[in-house]
Amino acid sequence: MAESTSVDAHTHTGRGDHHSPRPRKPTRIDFLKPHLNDESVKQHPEAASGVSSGRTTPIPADAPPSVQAASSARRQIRAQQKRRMFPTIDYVNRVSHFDPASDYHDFRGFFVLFWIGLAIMVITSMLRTVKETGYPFQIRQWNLFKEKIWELGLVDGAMVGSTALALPLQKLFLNGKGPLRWSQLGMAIQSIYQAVWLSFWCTYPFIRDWSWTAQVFFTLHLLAIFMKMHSYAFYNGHLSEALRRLNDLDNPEKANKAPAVRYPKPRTHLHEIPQSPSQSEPDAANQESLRQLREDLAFELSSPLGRVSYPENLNLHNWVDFIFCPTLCYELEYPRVAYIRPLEVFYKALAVFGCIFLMVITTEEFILPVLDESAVALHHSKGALDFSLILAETIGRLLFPFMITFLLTFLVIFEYILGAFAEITRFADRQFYADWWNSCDWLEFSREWNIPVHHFFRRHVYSASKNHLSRPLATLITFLISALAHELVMGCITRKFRGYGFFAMMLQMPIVMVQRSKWVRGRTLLNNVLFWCSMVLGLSMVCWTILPFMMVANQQQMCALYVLV
Amino acid sequence: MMTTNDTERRPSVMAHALDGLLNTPRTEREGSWTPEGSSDMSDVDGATQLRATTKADATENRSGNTTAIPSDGSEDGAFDDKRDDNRYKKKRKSIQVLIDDSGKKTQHSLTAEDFREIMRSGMQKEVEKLSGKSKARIRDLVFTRQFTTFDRQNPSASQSPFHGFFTLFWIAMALLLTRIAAWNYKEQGSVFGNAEILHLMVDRDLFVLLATDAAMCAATSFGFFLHKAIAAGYLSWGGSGWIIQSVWQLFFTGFVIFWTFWREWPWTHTVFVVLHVFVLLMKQHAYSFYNGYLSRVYRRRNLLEQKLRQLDDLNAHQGPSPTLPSVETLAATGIERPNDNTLSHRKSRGPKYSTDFTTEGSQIASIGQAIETSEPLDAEQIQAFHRVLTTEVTILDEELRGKCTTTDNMYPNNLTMNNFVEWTCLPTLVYDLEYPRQERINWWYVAEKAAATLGVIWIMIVISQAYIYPVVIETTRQKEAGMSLDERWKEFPWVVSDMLFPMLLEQLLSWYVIWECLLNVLAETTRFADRGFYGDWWNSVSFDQYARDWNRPVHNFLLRHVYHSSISFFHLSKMQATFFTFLLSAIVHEVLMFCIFHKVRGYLFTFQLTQLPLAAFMKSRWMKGRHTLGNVIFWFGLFIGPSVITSLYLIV
Repeated sequence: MAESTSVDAHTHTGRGDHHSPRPRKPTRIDFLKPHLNDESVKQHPEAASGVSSGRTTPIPADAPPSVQAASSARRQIRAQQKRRMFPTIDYVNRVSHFDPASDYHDFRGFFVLFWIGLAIMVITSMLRTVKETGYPFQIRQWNLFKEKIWELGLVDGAMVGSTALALPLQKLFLNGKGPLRWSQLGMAIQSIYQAVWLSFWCTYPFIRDWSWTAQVFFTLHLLAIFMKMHSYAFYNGHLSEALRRLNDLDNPEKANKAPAVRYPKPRTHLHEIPQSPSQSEPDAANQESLRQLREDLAFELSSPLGRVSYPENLNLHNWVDFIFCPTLCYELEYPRVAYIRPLEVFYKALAVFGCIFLMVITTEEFILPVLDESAVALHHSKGALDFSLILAETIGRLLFPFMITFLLTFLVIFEYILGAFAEITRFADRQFYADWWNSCDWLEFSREWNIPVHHFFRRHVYSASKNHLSRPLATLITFLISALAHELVMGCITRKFRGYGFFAMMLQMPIVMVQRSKWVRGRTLLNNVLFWCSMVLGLSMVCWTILPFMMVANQQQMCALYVLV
Repeated sequence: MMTTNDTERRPSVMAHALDGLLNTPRTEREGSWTPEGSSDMSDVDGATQLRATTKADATENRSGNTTAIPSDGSEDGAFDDKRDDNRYKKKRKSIQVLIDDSGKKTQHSLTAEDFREIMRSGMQKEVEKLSGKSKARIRDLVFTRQFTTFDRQNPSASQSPFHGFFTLFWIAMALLLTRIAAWNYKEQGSVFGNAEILHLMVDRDLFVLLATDAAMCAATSFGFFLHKAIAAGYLSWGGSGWIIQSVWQLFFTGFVIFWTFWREWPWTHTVFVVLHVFVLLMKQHAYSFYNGYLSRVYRRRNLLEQKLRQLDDLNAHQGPSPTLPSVETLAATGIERPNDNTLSHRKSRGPKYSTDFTTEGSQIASIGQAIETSEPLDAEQIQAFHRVLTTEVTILDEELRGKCTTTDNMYPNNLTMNNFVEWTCLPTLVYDLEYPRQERINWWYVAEKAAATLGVIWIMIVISQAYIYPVVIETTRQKEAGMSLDERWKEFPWVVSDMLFPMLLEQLLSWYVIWECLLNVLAETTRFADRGFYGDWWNSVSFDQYARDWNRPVHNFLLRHVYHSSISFFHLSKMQATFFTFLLSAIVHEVLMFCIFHKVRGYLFTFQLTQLPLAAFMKSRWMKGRHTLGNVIFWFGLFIGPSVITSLYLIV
């Protein structure tokens, strides 16, 4: 997760105009190097001097106007390059790859072909079912879907509603006296609440014995909301601390004048991180450094677009808005488009239902019969060779439907559901995925295929832990947490926690090793082929691991695709 | 340049105006040489720039190549310029003197007037050429340097953000093959299965097929020898040449089709031979008719040169000249519409290939006739006629030169065996004297594309064997078992639905193998640089766009030799010409179907002709701006079309 090649958004490129997805990633990291160097050159001296002398030598009041003008000009330039303390995600107006407004429409016809192919496939299979049974389709999963649907809705609402407790807690930490502030008890209270919340809602479906579809939906939603709550609480907590310090600075004698702590940008390397906390506060607390500190803190408290500043955002409306926004990282303000296009919302909603329908039909027509057949065949199989042959054949027959389901899942979540929510909330940054299909290894894939979660991990897990830990350790922790979350969803499907997801993740390691070797490195096409091969391999692994459970539980499922990939 | 009446009255002013007249054409003339050179250059340069972003190793030879040709061209142009410049300078001087002499005589106002008219028409030709009007004349097709879209040398494809899906497609194909192999192994004990289609292809008459193909290619040299005869003057193209060629083409096609029937070839042989025969037919047609046109231009040019020599031999008739009837009428036509540039110009220009002055009725014809009847001409007239004829000869020369950068491949010189054989191998159906070429052959690329060709053909065989063959066998079995038509009709939807996906795959793959692999192999081995074999037809929003884009070589052929020729030869309107082109293409497709299924049903014919109203509908205001919907309709048609037609031919 170190060098993110996926998103290169700079706020200074201007709001208002849409950014299309970049053509294709720079395939070699060398291309990024100059950029990194520029960044380090730009920030290094600034950070270093910022600690000791408050960045500038103070200008005497009676200095000639020319000197004063030069100084103020320097300050303005610095203000433009200012970086926040808390790691930020740059939100820019962007459209997604498959958006009709995107610049890349060279091959749009094949996208249309994909849909027409699916439509024709469904129609012919429906015709066939009519011929055989008299009904257009017989959805065996129907009961699965409608079972406890009301309960699911109510519980889901309650789950989302219960996160609202974070808002009064934040108000409490904002005004609280003594230990009731974020840096002392607040963080602990919030963490405990989150842990309780998570364990309660995770176990709820198990206790109530929901069907696996409801459970998968609920768990995925649960995880998303959990991340939202975490982001909301921790960012606001950080801001409350900043506000406190800013207010304390009104009495400079007593205040803590340690310079504003900067979380490192995920992209900067370790050696570039300023050693700020270790440095002692400047002895001569002159006016200039105070002013600088004040400016920094005030900057931290105001939103990126400059329309809102910290305590004003602690209201119910802002919270509800954040819950609906298709992002997991809380910011005081996001770029918005001018108005909602109702037709677009309608089309996206239609596409969501259409996709789900297609997935159900694919499952019904191409996956369940195969599974049933192979279940019978496996039951009568003699010997290990026979068993594995049948298994291999089943996997071979399942690969294509799985691939289709996988692509549909991707589209329905990242293009249509998130797109619909973005349209409703007028959220302007529609880049929910980058071109993961071009990716060359799994790290790249994990960065690109789910950008909201990637941002969350980068901001709240990787950067936060990196402040205290070394870089590899931070990476490891990030991966561990991600693997745990995946394991949780897997567990919902199989009802057993066996670490299969974990195992599959580890399986990718040899592939990564091969790809890192000098024969393969730099060969984009070969790497891309390897990536797709391992994707297919991963899918068959999913089959392999899930298959026994399906036999045993006589359940029908394949949505674990959400998971492993 | 339109001088008003009072300038004609005052000789000094007129002389000045004439001077201006003479100067301006010269500058136009200058302009007309250089822009042509430079426009070619900028074209080529544009291509280089486009490719400048590609991989360094790929560009190296390319850019070297592209810079080589324009430098040639510019040198050539500069040389021509200088030569012309000298010639014109001499003439300008003499004319100025001449007009100063005769400027005092008022009678000359008339001759000066028509003289100016002649000058103006010549000038307008230049202007037109400059503005690119004559560049856009029907036979022109500009060949540029480009790559095909799916070629990895093409930066816009290899850098496309959706390249990963291309990889996915081929991986899916590989998996499909593996699956079929496993299935074959399980069912039939061999990974290849029974491979009926492969046996169909290689068991019978394979060498006869190859021999036929070779004989066909050799037979196309008929047109070459015919043109040798025409160039030598035994025949004329306008007289009997084109009739002989047309009869030969008819015989050629008919005989090969008859041959396929007589040998009772399996459909795979038939498809190959019939497709190739159509390609060769188009090649022959393009070669003969373009060279035929050039031969007529060549004859006219020779005739005019002869007239020029006659003119040089003439002595100027001194004294007050008896006004020539021909010149007078000429002047009258000029005076009639002094302001209507285009019309008067059209009239004066005359066809480029007429060699009979008595029927032509243009200025040049009247001049030619005047020279022929050796009427008395005064010096001024001789001068003017000389100028007009020289201009005309230059224009004709340029026509003969075509897009050549050098003059040594001009019309009669291009009739060599070497050029003919090369033309037969080039992956284009539009004959031209010169094409953009690459510097050298990249044999790795040839190997790669050749391997791709074989691989894709193999995939196609496997797919048709596994998914289409059983369906076809089943329907023929039903037919032979004596099922009634009604019963078979009931089977129709299921046959269609069985064939939908394999047929789509076959269609996409056969397009890919021909237009991406095979033509690129041909192009690379012949160093042909214009790889625009197809456009982005997958984004088509209407069927006419698809018809234009998916098969560029044939489209260019139809545009040049059917559409435009039918407009100029049969005097059809644009609508009629479009219809005629579609009709011809539909008939050719139906002939192919006839050769495959041995029956005439006209399904494909009907489907193709329904594309016309459909295309009109796509252009109507309901569909305007709805690109996605248009694309959806297009893909839907393309998806179900092949399987529906095949099933129709199979069942009924």
